[in-house]
Parts: sequence; structure tokens; C-alpha cells
Amino acid sequence: MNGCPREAAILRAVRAGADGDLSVSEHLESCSSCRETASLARRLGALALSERAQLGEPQVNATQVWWKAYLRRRRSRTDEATGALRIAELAVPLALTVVAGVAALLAMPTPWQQAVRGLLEETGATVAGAPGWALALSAAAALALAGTSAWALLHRLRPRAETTRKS
Amino acid sequence: MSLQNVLRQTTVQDAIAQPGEIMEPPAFQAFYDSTSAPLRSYLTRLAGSRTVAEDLAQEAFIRLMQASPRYESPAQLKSYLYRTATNLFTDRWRKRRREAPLDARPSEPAGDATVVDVDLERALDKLKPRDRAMVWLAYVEGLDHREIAGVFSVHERSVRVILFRARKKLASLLEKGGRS
Ligand SMILES: [Zn+2]
Repeated sequence: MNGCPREAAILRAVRAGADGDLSVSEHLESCSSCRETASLARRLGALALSERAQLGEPQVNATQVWWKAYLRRRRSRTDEATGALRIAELAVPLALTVVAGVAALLAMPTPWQQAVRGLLEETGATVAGAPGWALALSAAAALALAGTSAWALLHRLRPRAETTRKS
Repeated sequence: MSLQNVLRQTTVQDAIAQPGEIMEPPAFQAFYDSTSAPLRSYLTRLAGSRTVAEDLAQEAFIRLMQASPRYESPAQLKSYLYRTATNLFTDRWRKRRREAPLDARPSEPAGDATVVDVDLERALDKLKPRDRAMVWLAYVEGLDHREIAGVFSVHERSVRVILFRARKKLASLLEKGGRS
């Protein structure tokens, strides 16, 4: 199934134009498998040569390909770097929303306030003594901040997503 | 200018590819000059279209450059280049076959009226794309069985068997003048 053990050497000799060497030609005379290999290699080699001659110059030269690779590399590194920034952008409004939610709950009248205060005290946090108006104000401020950040995030994510699709 | 823009510009500046991250231009020029024509010829033989071959070759070179620090010797680079090009062709071929069933090879002829061996071209077209690619790599590009196994991610023994069968099939087809 695997042909002659000298096939690889014969193929190398044919490709190097050394199939006229005595040891090669002697083997070719006695081995039909290698004769087949040599014949095919010669014909394929001639076909490849004529094909390469017809191909002519490539549409883009080495310099153009190098620049394309360089720019793609640069773009992928930029994407990696801005990825961290985008995560931060996502995390900030999320954190602010959580803070605003907690503050809003704290500003609510009893029994909600009692329940949340009790929960916070259980986990070691203290809000005792904070006046209701301060809690309400901080809740409103946090909500406003969260809304602004979320709007800014959506506004910035949309055009970038389109750019990513285009590339 | 907002802080975000300042931050972004700083990051972009830092992100610019540094020298050495991709192959240096002189090294790439030398490699490109020695491999571009054979690669395009190989891909033309596979894809049956010079335009497709040009696109695939260009993409293969770009990918090679981005991965090149991991590949040191010219033989490794060449092997990686052919593996990438072959994978690009395979992906394209599969995609096109899904979209519209095709024969083993697209219709655009690889050569023109000056093709020297029409029988051989016809016989090659009768082989499966993978077998044709292996024959080309072994007989024209001189890749050994181990290298070809690397290109196609198959066992070396499978390469030996496939090449043996392909050679037998070609010999038989050529005896009949390239017709099955
Ligand atoms: Zn032999």
C-alpha cells in the first residue's frame, strides 16, 4: 500500500533535477512504483512552472501585505485595550444603581426601612442616626448619576458595535 | 477634550504594535518573495480561481505575520503558511458548498490556453480537494509526509496512504488521457 521505501529519495532527486544520476536511473529501471512517482513529479513540476509563469505578479506586494498585517495587529491591540475601559464603563453605572437602590430603600418609611436597617446592622453596617432627608437626597443624587452613566454608556457602545461589525 | 477621550488616546497610543511583534519588513520581504508564487499556484490549483487564490494567499500571509514570533525556522514558517492557506481554503469551500452544492472544484479554469498538460489538469480535477492538495504539496512543493500531516492535522501514515492512492488514481486517469 505504501509503495517503494526509496520513493521519497527518488522524488527529492527528480525535484532537484538529479534523476539522471546513476543510482537513481538504475533504481528507476527496476522499480515501476518509483517510475510512476518520477513521471508524475516531472509532469506536475512542468505544470507548476507554466502555471507560475501565467500567474504573474501578485495583486499586492510584500510591503502592502506587511502594512495590512501591521494595521490589523494594531487594531486588535486597540480593541483589547479599550475592552477594559468598556468593562469599567459598564461597572460604574451598575454600582451606582445598586447604591441608589439601597439608598432609596433606606429613605422609605417603615416597615421597609426597619427591615433594611435591620439587615444592614446584621451584616455590620450602621446607618443609625442618618436623617430621612439625607437618605432621600443621596438616593436622588445616586439615581441621577446612574441614569447619566447608563445613557453615556449606551450612547458610546452603539457606534462602536457598528464599527466592529464593519471590520 | 473629555477625560474619556484622553484616556482612550493614551491607550490607543500604547496599543500600537511594537517592533518585533510582527515579522520585520526585510525578513518578511525575503520570505514573501520566495513563497508567494508557489503559494498562489497551490491555491489556484485548489480553488480553481486566481482571484480567490490571491485573496486567500494574502490572508494567509497576514495571519502568518501575526503568529510569526512563535515560528522560528523558515521550514516552520512555510509549513504554517500552507496550513493556514489550506484551512482558509477549506473554510471557504465548506461555506460555498453549504450555500450552493458544487463539484469538487469551482468552475473558473486555473490556467488559460497555454496550459501545457491538459490531461494532467483534468486528472487532478478528478481528485478530492484534500488529495489534490496533498499531491501538490508532496510533488511540487516538496513537503515531506510529516510536514503534510502537519498541514492537514492528520497522522503521517494517513498521508502516505492518501498519496499512494492518489498517485495510483492519477496514473490510471493519465493512462486514459485524464478521463475517468
Ligand atoms: Zn522504488
